[in-house]
Amino acid sequence: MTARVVAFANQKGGVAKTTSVLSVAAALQELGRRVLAVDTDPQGALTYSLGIDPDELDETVNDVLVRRLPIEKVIIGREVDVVPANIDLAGAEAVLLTKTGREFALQRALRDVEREYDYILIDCPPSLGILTINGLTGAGEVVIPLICEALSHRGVGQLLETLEDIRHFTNPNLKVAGVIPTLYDGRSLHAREVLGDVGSRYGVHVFEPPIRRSIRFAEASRVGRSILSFAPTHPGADAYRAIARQLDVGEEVA
Amino acid sequence: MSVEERGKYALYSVAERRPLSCSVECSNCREETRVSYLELAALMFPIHFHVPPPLKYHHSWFRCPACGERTWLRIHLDR
Repeated sequence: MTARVVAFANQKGGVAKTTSVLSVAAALQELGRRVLAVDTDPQGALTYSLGIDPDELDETVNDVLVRRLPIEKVIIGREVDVVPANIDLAGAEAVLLTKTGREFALQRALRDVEREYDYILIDCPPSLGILTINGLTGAGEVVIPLICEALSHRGVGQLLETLEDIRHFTNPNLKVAGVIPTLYDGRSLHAREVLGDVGSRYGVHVFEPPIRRSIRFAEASRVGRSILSFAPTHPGADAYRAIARQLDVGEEVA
Repeated sequence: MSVEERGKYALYSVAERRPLSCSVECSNCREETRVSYLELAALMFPIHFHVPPPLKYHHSWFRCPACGERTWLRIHLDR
C-alpha cells in the first residue's frame, strides 16, 4: 500500500496553506494514519510551525532535490514527521531548470518513503514555479486553500490552468480533491457570496466547514505545534478534523 | 507560440523532448538524462538485461549516461 500524496497549492500567499497542511496532517494522525509533511517553500514556514529553526538545519529538501540525497536522511520527527526546508531552497529553482526530468525530482525522492506512510502532504510555495510543479507532479491530488475574497478567488482560475498543464505534461492522473475556505468571516456577506460561488464556478468540491479566522492558529505556530494539540477544543481544530475525515474517505472531484 | 507560452513551457523538461529520444533514470546516481534512441542502443552495447517493469522500478541494466556505471535504470519513453 503506497501513500496518498496530496499537494496543498495556491500561488497566492497568506491563504493558510501551511496552517492547512499542518492541521490536516495532525488531524489525519489523530485518525491513526501515518503522515509525512513535506515543506517545499523556501520560507520554511511549515518547518518553523513544527518548532524547528530553519536556519539551524544542515540538510533539507533542497539537498534531496538538488544533490539527490535520500529523503529519509532529512526527515525530522516532530508532532508530524516533516521534510524541512529553508532559504537554501530558493537556489534550487535555478539549478533544477537546467536538469532533464526536473518536474519529477520530488516524485523520485518520495518513492523511497511512500510505503512507510499513509499520507504525504506537500506544502507548495506561493508561486507557479518549478517547486510547485514538482509538488503537483509528485501528488495524486491537490487541495486548494482559499481566502473567501474576490482577489483570492481570481487566482483559482490561474491555478486550475496550471493544473491542466501539469496533467498535459507530467501527471495525467492529478485530481482536485477540493477547496478549503480559510480565514472565513461568516459575518461578512462578501465572504458568504464568494464561498457560495467558488464551487459552482470552478466545478470543484468545497470542504466544510470553512476555517474561521482566529489568532489561535498564529499562537500555535509560534510554539511549534498544530492547532489540534495547542487548542484541541478550538472550533478551528474541529473544522480541520472534519476536513481530514472528508479527505480520508476520499471525496474527490476530477 | 506566444512569449507567455514559451516562458511557461520552459518550466517543463518534457516540453524539450526531441523526436526519437527518451529519458533514462539511474538507480545509482539518481540523475535523469535525455538520450536519442541511437545513444540508448550504444549504452546497451554489448550487454544489457531487462525485467518486466511491474517487477522492478529500475527495470533495465546497462550503462548510465550520467555516471557511466553499469547499473539498473528506468527508461521513460514518454519523457
